[in-house]
Amino acid sequence: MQVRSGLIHTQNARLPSTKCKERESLASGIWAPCTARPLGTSSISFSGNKESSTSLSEGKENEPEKNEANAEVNTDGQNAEVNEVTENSQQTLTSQLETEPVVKPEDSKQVEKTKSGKESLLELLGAMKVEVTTARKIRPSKTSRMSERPDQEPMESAHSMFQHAAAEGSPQQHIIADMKVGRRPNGRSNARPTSQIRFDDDGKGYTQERGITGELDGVRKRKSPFTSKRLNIFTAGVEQDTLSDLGPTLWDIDLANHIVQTTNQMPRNGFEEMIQWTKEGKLWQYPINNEAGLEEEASVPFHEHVFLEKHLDESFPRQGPVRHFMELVITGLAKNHHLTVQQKKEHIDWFRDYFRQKDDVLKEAEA
Amino acid sequence: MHIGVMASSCSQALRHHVCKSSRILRVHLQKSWPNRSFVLSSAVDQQPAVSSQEEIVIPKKKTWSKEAVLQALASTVNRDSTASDYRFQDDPYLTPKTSSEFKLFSFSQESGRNAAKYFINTYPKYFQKDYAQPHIPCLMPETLKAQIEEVSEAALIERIQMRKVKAAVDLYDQLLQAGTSVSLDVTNQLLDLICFYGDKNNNAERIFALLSEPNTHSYSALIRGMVKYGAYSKAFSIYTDLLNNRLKADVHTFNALITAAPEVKEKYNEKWELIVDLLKQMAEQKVKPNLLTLNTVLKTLRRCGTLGKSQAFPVISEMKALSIEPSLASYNHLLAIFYKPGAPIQGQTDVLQEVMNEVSRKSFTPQDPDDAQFFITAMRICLDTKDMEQAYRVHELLGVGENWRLLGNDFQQNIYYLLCMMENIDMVLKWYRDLVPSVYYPSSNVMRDLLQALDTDNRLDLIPQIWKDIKQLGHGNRQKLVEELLTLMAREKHNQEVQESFAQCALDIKKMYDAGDRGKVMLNWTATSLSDLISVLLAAQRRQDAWEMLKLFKTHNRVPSEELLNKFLTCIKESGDVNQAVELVQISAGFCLPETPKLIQRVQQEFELSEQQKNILSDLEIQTFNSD
Repeated sequence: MQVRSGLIHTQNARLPSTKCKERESLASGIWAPCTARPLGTSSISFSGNKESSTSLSEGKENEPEKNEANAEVNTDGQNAEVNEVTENSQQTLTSQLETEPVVKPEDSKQVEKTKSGKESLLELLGAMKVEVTTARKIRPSKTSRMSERPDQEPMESAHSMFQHAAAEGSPQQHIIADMKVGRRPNGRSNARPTSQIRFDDDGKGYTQERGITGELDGVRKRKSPFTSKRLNIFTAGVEQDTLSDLGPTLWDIDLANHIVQTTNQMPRNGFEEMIQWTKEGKLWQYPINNEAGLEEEASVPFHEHVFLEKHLDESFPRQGPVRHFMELVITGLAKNHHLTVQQKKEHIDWFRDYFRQKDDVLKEAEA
Repeated sequence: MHIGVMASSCSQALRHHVCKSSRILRVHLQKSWPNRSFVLSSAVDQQPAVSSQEEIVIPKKKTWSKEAVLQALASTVNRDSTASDYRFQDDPYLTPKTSSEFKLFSFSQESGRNAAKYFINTYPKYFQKDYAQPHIPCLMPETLKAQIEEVSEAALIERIQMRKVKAAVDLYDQLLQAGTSVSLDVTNQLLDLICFYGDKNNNAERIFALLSEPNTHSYSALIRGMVKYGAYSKAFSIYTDLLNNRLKADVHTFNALITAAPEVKEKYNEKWELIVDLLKQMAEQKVKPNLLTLNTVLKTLRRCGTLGKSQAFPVISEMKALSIEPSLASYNHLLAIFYKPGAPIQGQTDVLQEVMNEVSRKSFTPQDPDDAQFFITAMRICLDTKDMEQAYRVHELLGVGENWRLLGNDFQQNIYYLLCMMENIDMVLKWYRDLVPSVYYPSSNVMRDLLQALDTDNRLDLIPQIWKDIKQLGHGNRQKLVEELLTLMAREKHNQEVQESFAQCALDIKKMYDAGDRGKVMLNWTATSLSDLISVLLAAQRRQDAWEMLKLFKTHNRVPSEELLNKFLTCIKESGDVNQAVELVQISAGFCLPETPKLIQRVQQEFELSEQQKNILSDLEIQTFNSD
């Protein structure tokens, strides 16, 4: 998820060079929904192709749906730079397709999408972004595949062999995936002299000649230690008894402190440092909300700020110079953006007390 | 939500702890209180439900955490191998160049922060003005004095939260004397506090005895405190008490007891039986074990010898059956059970591979302080078994997700050692450039290994560069390292450019030997090092420099070798400087070297000598002849 949105943001970062000024005034937060906006139309055009629409909607579902407000703002600039971004994303698309070989059926699905995406790209900017994001989203789950590229051929045959070997249905994929990991046949690991000729110079972690036997061996081996017998002391499914409701106890805090001390919590770059600051509360949260920290104020209706005469009705005279003065005070307070209602009331109260104290002076003056 | 509520209602002392460890705490707490909903959950936790390939559920609204944008940006940035760690100032003078500087600078940074915190808290009246909108609580001075003064339960709670043990105990006693009863929960918290900080005056037992109906929590506090401070058998007796009162213990109690189990029994199988017994009781009382339980079991298995090997995997299978995901600490204990340091390895490599199979490509969150040991242990094993493949896998695992946080400092050293020994030189150099000096500051032993690796692969031309790095790392004053460097340079003849660079390097090294600014001599000349140096200079046709060096033999009381002098003579012959030849022979005679006559002969044969020189030589010849 985060990687995907990272890609959206990096893509957008390339755009500013050709943008007009108004674009730069947009907060970064608007970009996320703006890319989502054309998705509405993209889904219509792709509804025919079910496969690609599902993968499209996979990407779509991640976008928040606050599109409408930004529709007008974004149409202007987007058409202008469709070409530029088209090229960029096409390049990223193709490069991603190169570096992310996926299982063949998925591969063809992606290619399909690319082609149809290219056709409608000129109209639908967002569709293109969805292409990119979907590709990106698939990538983390398929990083295992990345190193197994040259082995796609053995994988196919191993796949078929395994179909005979095991009678399982859907867990097959999972086992195949695990098979790739367990490559080492028994006992070969020790037979390595220190100054041997290395086969896997690029550090892939396996050599290509092991092939099928290694994989099958790996399958067999996987059964052994981690799936062996249990202690059989506990039964699964015992429900947790309710813990005390007192919040984290001292012991928990102590454990958390230990963990913090042993692990490396230092930020590796400026962004991580900012993340730490955000967690500590030292930094504004992105996307910037101007009213952050003013949540209680949001619930105070405006008329309580502006119409302050009701406070004047108690214990201030109805007429006279004092009233006149207080009305001026109220007018000033009504226009003050910085005080809370409570503070305004306190101002008025202070005046009330003041005039009460100076009552005799007033009486003298008026009398 | 509870974190937020807690943060706003506690005093700042507690909040300070929460601030620092809030993320870890949140993860930890999410595991232990799955019913709570946490506001601070990251976007990752909010994946929309995708039931199958075809049916996609689109959420109405997706909310992102407050760090989502920054996390996305952070994922675009990789490590810069030419820069030092981010925490340091980006200035050539202020970047650390050796490992000791690294430690010094990071400690000094930390201590600066602590000093600032100290000042803010000691003189709070100067730091009251609050500019920040919205308010930033953690930058304001902490109020560490108790606010509530009267003797009441609320005051007790406050003191407990501020961790004032003595004040809390006194207040409790006052409360009891005044006749007000204190609720069980609060008493439990008080017990927690006392037991946590070590019970100096046996207050805990006293208070415990005063409790009319101690509940699970009270016992738990006592037992945990006792185990923490080493009173193991007492802990067990309290546990028996608990059983006698027909109460159930909670999972933390059991964890503590399991930690204590190996201390109260001597033999391996007794220990194991006790643990199994405890686990069985746990199951009877229907207390669900958590990750820490099973990690503790594994930890004790480490000390159970061969019994550990047979029981370790069943424990892990048990964990999985209870759908507790093993953390890196579990795997660490597993590896430690099977690979005892110093023990001979016979066919044990499978375990490492199995473990790597399990953990590959998983991102682990730290849940146990022992998680951080995993990578170090794994790399140590790879080093011992000389297993490159697994080493690469371990390194790869480091790159997954947040796993890099679980790394100690010795890790890089091990991987580097491994590579030096095993890989070809290009790989070594590639890693070298990547890791040094941004992440790893090699020690002088590692540099020697590097030199050997260069030697094996015939890349001695890289020596001058390595020398620069050695100097920068602060190892330029290590006798053995420098001598080895010189020997390597002097051993063979290379082509002209390389020799020239060697000569530069040699002169640079010479500077290390000279007395420093304050007259302190860092390195001592030995005969071999001098000879090597001179040979290098000669090989680069730097006769004049070599001649200067030759004089150093006398000053430092070292004796030049025959080979050296012969080489020198050959060199002189090439330049045809007869005087120098004669001087050379005189030097040799001055040392009463046995090969002086041969030298004299050579000079007489190969050079055209003037009368005077012939006389000198014949005198010398007679001298040496006489002294035989």
